[in-house]
Amino acid sequence: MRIAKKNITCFAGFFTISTASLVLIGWIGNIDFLKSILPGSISMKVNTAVCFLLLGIALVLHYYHKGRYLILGIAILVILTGLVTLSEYFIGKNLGIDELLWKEGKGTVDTLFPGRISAPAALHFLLIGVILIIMPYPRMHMFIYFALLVVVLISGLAFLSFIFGISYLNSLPLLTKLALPTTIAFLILCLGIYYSNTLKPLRLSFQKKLTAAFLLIILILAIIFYIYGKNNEQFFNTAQWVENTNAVLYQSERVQSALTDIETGVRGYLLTDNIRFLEPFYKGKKDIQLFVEKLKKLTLDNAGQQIRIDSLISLIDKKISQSDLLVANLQVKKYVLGQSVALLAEDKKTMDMLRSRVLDIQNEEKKMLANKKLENEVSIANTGRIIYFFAFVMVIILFGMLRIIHTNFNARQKAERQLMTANKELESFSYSVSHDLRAPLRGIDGWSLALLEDYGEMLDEKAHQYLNRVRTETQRMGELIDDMIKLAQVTRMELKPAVVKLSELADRICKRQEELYPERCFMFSIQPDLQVYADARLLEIVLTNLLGNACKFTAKVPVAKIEFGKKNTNNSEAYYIKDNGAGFNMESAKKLFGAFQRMHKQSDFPGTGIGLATVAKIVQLYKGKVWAEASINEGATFYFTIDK
Amino acid sequence: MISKTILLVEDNPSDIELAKRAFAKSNILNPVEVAENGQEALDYLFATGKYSDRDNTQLPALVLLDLKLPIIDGLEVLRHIRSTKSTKRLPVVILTSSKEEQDIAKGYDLGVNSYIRKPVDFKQFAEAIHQLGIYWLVLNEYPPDIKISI
Repeated sequence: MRIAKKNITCFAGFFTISTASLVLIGWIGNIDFLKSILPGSISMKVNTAVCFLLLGIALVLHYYHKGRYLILGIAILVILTGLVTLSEYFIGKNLGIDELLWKEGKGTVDTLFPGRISAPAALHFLLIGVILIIMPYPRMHMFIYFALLVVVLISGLAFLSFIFGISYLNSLPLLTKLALPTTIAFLILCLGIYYSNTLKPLRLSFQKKLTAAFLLIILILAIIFYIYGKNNEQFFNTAQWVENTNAVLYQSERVQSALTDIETGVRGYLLTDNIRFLEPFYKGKKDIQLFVEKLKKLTLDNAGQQIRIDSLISLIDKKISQSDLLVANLQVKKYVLGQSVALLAEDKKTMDMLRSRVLDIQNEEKKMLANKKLENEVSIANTGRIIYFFAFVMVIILFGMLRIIHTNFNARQKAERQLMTANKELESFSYSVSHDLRAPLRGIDGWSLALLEDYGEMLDEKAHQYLNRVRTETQRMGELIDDMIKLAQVTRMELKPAVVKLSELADRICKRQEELYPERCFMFSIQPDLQVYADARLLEIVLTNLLGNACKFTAKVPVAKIEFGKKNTNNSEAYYIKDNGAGFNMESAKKLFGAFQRMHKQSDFPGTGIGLATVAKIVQLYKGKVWAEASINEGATFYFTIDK
Repeated sequence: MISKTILLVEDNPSDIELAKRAFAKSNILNPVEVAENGQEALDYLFATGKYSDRDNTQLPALVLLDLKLPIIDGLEVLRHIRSTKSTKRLPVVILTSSKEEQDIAKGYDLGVNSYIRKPVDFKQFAEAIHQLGIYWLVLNEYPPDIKISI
């Protein structure tokens, strides 16, 4: 599978090289069908073909892991080409790169700037050049994927607009004048880069995947709406055409009838010498100017029709002047028979020409309408197809999303089950620790004491000392186990929140401490009426540990001053316990809340180093924070917050 | 002190010896019967199996029950004791290593009379045994309908 994917890169490289070469041969040999390769497409520019040739070579080199510097050179060249071309579009000036390699001959169709790479192609070259440069750096691969996505989206859309024959998609600013072979070459290049074995496989988190799918769907919807809008425009456009054609036909009919009026008026007068017959002649003469003018206005957008109408106007002028002459001759009664016959014959000829001209105009208009209708029908059918296509793609994406959610859900369920098993195991572990680990300790302590009690007289001072040491160590071990179990219990305790009267709780704990050290002198100051909504047992553990520490570490001062209260720090209300005891070095404060971390010698202040870890754990359960401020021999203040 | 039997349900030989030593230290001279697992404890109480010769109407004055026991654990033994008519009211004290909340809760749910945790420090342990002895064997009035083996 891996080999097959790698081969795609190689294939893409060679495909690009051969496409570009064919186009270049087309330009050199002036073979039109090679310039555009695919029938019906606009031709690929020389610069574009050169860039593709270079990129194809770079991709093949990359595939064979050769010529790193050559690849870099190609990338820089392509980036420069893209950049310069893009800036040409921006500043609207020819910077001389367009026809640097090849002078584009006259007669090239559909070109705004001779030889210039189209704007989207220039952008693509810029992006692909950058991709080639950053390929070896895995940290940049996210950008590569993004750039690939941009290129694929733009080229893909252009490709689709060719495939579905939707001309208006091509008029989108980003798709202008991308030749079909260019879009295909870009897509193949992207495919080659995507399957390149140096590209780190894309690993997206669940949320990112969903977001990406969502954005894709939004994009497709936008495209569908755009296409739909354009489609409506075309419907409207067709209707307008029909209306316009009807108007043209109507106006030409009126011109025709005015002409007939003119003719019959003149003929009647000629036959009868009665001036009343001239009425339609005058009316026709007056009206026809108006009708022709309207006709001309209606066909303003059609040069062919305008020419026809202009010739119609001159014919009308001729006809009118001929008719005027006939009428004038009769009025002054000086017509000569032969002359009149000649004039009439001339007049008939003009009239025939006029008739055929009007017919021409009408036929042309009908033909154009038929063409337009056909064109729009095709376009509407294409639009329907592309909308189906996008809807299909959307359904696929939605299925993909469903799959992502499904997979995630399954993985989550599995993880939950594993977590539950792990929790159960941990629970049974801690259960057995609390039962089994303490039993031998009792034995060690008990039998050491038995030895002391029963054989004490036979043992010397040193042996007594040693045995006592065995006992204290054993008891310390017992405490360690107890504290560890407490720490473990805290993490899996079910929270039972209630209003906890902190001040009263602190007071109780302080009294207990006083009883524990009857020989010492304490000064407790506890801020009254503090209360919090939390689990009472957990808060008791917190306060017992913190107040217990405060009492423990003030053992060496004559009067232990211990304070409990609440104050505002860092925009949050924190509870604090302050003492005037031994304190500690702030540099080591980070380790303070880790399990088994101790700041003092066992002989100075005994302890297991688990108490503060337990406190931290509990505070963490309440999404709060715990921290300390202290300096050596100047006491310590511990703060903690509880998130309500 | 009247010699009423104490049933010690405990599997760890060292703990058994230490408990006996603690009884002796506290001058509790009552006979101590030891059951090394849950099954033995039940056999003793109901005069079955190993103890089938025993008079099952004679019950110990106090059962000291460890929780972690082979075969049948302490809580199961307690359940049997409490669900059997003859031993329903028998004073049972759990004497164990753990202070696990679930154990304490389950013990009381099953109707234990007291829950004592064995401290590591033997002096404290001996003190606890001493207090136990005074309380359960001297001060405490026995429930009716129970024949205490003397």
